[in-house]
Amino acid sequence: MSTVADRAGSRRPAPALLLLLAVCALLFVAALCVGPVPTAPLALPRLLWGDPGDPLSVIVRELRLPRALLAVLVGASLGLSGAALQGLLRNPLAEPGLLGISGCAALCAVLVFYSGLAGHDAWVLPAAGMVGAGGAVLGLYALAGRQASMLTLILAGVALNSLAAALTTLVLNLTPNPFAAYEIFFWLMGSLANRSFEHLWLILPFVTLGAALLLASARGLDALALGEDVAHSLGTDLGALRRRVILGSALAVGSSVAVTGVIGFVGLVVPHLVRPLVGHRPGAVLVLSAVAGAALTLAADLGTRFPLLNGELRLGVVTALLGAPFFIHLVLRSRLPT
Amino acid sequence: MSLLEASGLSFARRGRAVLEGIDLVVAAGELVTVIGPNGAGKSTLLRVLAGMLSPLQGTLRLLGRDLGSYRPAARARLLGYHAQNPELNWPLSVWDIIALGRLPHSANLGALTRADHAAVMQAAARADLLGLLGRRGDSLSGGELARVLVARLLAGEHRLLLADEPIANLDPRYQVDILALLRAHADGGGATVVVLHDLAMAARYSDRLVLLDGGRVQADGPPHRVLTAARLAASFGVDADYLATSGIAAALARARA
Amino acid sequence: MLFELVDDARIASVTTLSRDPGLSPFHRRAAGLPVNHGAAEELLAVAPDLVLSGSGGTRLAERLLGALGVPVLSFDHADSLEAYAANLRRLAAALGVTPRAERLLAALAAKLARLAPPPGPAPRAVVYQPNGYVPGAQTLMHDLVSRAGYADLATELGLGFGGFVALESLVAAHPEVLIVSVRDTRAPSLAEQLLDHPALRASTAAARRVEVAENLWTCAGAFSADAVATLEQARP
Repeated sequence: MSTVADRAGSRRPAPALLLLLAVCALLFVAALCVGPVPTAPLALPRLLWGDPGDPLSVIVRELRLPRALLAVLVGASLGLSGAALQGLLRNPLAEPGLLGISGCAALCAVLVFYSGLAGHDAWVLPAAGMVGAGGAVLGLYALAGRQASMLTLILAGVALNSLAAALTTLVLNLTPNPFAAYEIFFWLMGSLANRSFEHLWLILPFVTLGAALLLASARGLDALALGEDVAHSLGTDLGALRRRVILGSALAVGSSVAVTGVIGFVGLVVPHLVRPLVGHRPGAVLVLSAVAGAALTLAADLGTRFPLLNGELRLGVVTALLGAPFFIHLVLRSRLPT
Repeated sequence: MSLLEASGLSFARRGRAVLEGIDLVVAAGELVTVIGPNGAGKSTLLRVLAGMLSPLQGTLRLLGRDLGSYRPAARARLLGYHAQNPELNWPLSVWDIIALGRLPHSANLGALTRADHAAVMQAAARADLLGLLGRRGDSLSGGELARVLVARLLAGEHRLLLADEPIANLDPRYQVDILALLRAHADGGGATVVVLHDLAMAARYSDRLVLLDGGRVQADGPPHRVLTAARLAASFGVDADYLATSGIAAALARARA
Repeated sequence: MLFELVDDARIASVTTLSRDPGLSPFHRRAAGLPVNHGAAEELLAVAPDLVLSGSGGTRLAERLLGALGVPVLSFDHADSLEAYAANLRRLAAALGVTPRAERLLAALAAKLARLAPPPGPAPRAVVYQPNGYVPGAQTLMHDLVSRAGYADLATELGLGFGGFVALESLVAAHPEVLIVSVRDTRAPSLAEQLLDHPALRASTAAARRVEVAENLWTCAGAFSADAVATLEQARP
């Protein structure tokens, strides 16, 4: 009897989780070492706690460390949000980028930054991002309705994205500062370059709160696997679940976008990669997506530092190069008869 | 003591009355089947009984307490629901699907305790699914999935089961299996309320039938009292008779001459 | 240069760039004068006796005007004060105000002589512009920075006309003085925020930071001496 149970038992998330954490740790160390001035991994401890006058120490502590930490925070936010949205909407194409949540967050952040409002108080910037993200979700529900089909939802997301991108470009062109027009690339393609600890502290409380809310939706998402009615009968408060996913996404993704611009496809790809490892259970997918999202973002950011392109490659371009083929694969797979 | 007591329930949707003046009592050990023509409000009634819809009027008591006064987790432990259209949104393994039935009992972290494990195994055994535990949900046939979803219902170890059309579109073999499981649940001290379309199956397995027509209870009693020729003609529009012979009961419709 | 040599009465039209306070130290004078956008029609409409053009734009307008018999003088952008002196003399000859030009140049030379740096090791400095752009050794900024007595890191970094330098590389080169070109604008941008990065402040904390108004050294003129003076102030 016990052998049958062992064979049939659900795949525990622990081994996959440990593996992903290890990969993440390796990528983190690499992120601290790679750059125009390469550093040996063994030298890191000395440099991290080293003399502030040493330029190499400054590079590692003030440039690479906040950048790597931000990659972890933002990547985890995107992975969590993507997994939660896919679980809630029961739609494998849901993610903050495609649904226009990131785009609207960027629009509000741009409005606030270039109008100078963010200069008064640093918190205004992530707050604007969160308001934009929250507004986008409400807009999605308004456009697509509660019981939206896959098609309707994606169309609503496309509409929001187009509108947000157009308005963002407009704002950047209208602002008097001559550099602003070129910064469209930052906001729409995302970047972690030259971010500092100030940016990290700015979004840390919101990302933490948002991530906690998203993780707390694990049970409800598991119950939803059998439909809304059964989930209700299993004790799930559907309204509370929806609010947790929406609010959590708005907090975590909204504040992240305000500081890094729109980083697409991470939220889409990561849950799909992680699902086979835990038998598709939405709750377990959630946790693993956070770590996998961090790892993917770290890897993509490392990719932007390829010496060939002199650091001109945008983070969003790398994630799009990784994500778009995956998206195509999803489309093709959906065409095959099951 | 009655497990479920509904009195004067009414429910409306978009201004139209769907249920009116429903009285229903279900005691431990009973399997009660709700029958009626399409659009009679059977599924709606079940969803009201499960607490998913709030009745406009009337009272609903579970184990003597008002249903609305239970916290969701407590209610979920006592009351199990099987939805009409089988829905599986992710290709979970059979084991994982059945294990979802333990959610009301498990602590927040969701890891299965020994008791959970045992309950899942027992439900799987009773539904004859031990050979299928590792299979993916999307690779099952309709009949297999139906059994798995009923096993999920059983794994929850609820006192009261509410099952909406658990045997629709299934082979007779599976229909018999599933209704036998629901019958066994009632025999074991719980209670089951089932919505069925198949009058023969309903008559065979139920202690009582509740005939719902036009949102009202038209009859409530043992099968032979409810399935009279007059009622069958009035509610179902068929010229039929109720036959009971050598332990098999059936309501057979006469062919049109 | 035109503003320096003649009075407003002799100026028929100036380009819109002259009105930009970030680029032109004569923006107030330009505000009162007619503007053009470099189109041949606009220039013909003012019927000038002489048209001056820089090396930046297309040659189409110039060729058109030349074909119509309007005299055109074109100048290469001055990338050093010597080049500026040559340009000024050429223009003065064409305008018939050579004595005025010579007086200007003499005054400038005298100012620069007074500002000459004391002997000794030159502190290492770098000009860091928004988005991380560093002007190279063949620019006016480099000329002025060298005259102020600094060793411009642009030469060390091997930049000809200029290039984008990653913040990491800049920090690794550890300059002693950071020179920032500022323009008075209330609207923020990410490009300019880069200059406030903690890494930059940390690496040059022990060093000095100088801010020079951008319109003082984008183009050359008598005001270049003021730019050199500002740069000198930060010398340790």
